[in-house]
Amino acid sequence: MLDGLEGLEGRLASLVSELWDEHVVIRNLFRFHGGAGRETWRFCAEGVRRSAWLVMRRDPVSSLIRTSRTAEFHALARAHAAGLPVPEPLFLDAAGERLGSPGFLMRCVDGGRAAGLFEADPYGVNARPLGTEVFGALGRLHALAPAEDDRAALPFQPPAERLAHWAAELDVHARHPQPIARAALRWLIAHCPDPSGPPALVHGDFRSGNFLFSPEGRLLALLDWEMAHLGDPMEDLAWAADPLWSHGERDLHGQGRVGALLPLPEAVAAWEAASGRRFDEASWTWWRLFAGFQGLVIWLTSGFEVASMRAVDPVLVFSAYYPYRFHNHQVAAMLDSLGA
Amino acid sequence: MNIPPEDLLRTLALGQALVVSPALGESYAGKTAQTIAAILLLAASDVVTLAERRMAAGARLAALLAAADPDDITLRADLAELLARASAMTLDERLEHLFSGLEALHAWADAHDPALAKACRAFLKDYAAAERLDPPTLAT
Repeated sequence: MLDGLEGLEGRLASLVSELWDEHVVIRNLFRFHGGAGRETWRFCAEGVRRSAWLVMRRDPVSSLIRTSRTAEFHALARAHAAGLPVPEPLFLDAAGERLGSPGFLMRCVDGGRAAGLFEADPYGVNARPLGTEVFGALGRLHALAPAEDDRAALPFQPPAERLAHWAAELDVHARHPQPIARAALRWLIAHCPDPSGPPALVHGDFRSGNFLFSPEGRLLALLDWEMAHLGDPMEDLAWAADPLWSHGERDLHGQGRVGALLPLPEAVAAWEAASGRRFDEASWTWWRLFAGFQGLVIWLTSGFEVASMRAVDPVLVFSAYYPYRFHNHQVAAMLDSLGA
Repeated sequence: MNIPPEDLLRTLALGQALVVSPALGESYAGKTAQTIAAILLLAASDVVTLAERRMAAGARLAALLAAADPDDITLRADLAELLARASAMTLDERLEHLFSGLEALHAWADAHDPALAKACRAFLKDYAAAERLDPPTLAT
């Protein structure tokens, strides 16, 4: 933790008072699990003229992945301006001068919850309409044409660059031999596809568990934009369809509902209708293997942080344990079935 | 009294899940307690066959490396030396050492020897399947 509860309360009171131009008191400040990558806090800001529940996300001492709060804030703001269901971003502290480390404030989205990794059939009878809504929202994101300010704020990573990004992370964070990740990397390099279409704003961590839904099964908010970048929208589809996020429904061959929401053809249809793009069958296998490889590197990074004694958050220990072995098996099985 | 490690870990997991976590509720600390419980449950089932799996993987891997006859003088010499040194190592050191040999051999085989590459992939698939964890559950 960067500073104590009182210190953070003081920082937030001072900042929101300035933003609202009135004296603001912070109440009910508490930390919650809002993605393993960042420190996430919820609180009620109370002034004389107004009050609101807000959320603050900031860089922790250590995390699963190294990402930029400026890029995350930009992606969130872009999606919000386009009318996508996301928390409204309010204030960016890129240098960390106000929040203690780089971070931002956003409005809290009430009344919903995110599905847990091991929760069986989390969406129940609402799975199909909710799935249509979720993949429709992803399509709307991918329909946005990257503008000049997007290019300035977000890294542009078409397939080869995206792969190079994770390959570099593998080199830095692999403390032990990783024969499966290395074999996958060789295959991915040898078969790297052309982009499936014009670059899109890619969420980067689009999956079950990273959106809020209401008790009635309506999509309330897409969360965790910290891995957003410009690139190939097939990446988001493949990550969403990864068996790890299927609540036990999807097997290593990709059969079963995507994210316990929809069969893949229905998810793709909802996405195509909203994005105006076509699903690229030719690169699907590559993106599916890429998803497993990316997962492996993220979990390895998590293990590196723990083994280096730079982190004590059990979420990082868990990530280096269950998901790592899950993806090691998935990637090995895929490589074997590809015959390469 | 000697408590087997799997029972010890499972008891600690139950304590976290049934005592600590409910007391902390839906807070960051409560979620952390749930995560610790999940890790302990995973470790409890993992530890039961851990030594057995490592022994089996080490033996199969050593056999794969010993049988490989790469058409590359340097790699062949490296593997021979690696196998000779591995025999004097502890189980953990040995596995680490053998896996580094497999990385090199598999990379070479991918480029030059499809049959050997297939054998490397088959080993990795079986190894990873044996290491994969079942989702944690409180039920016995």
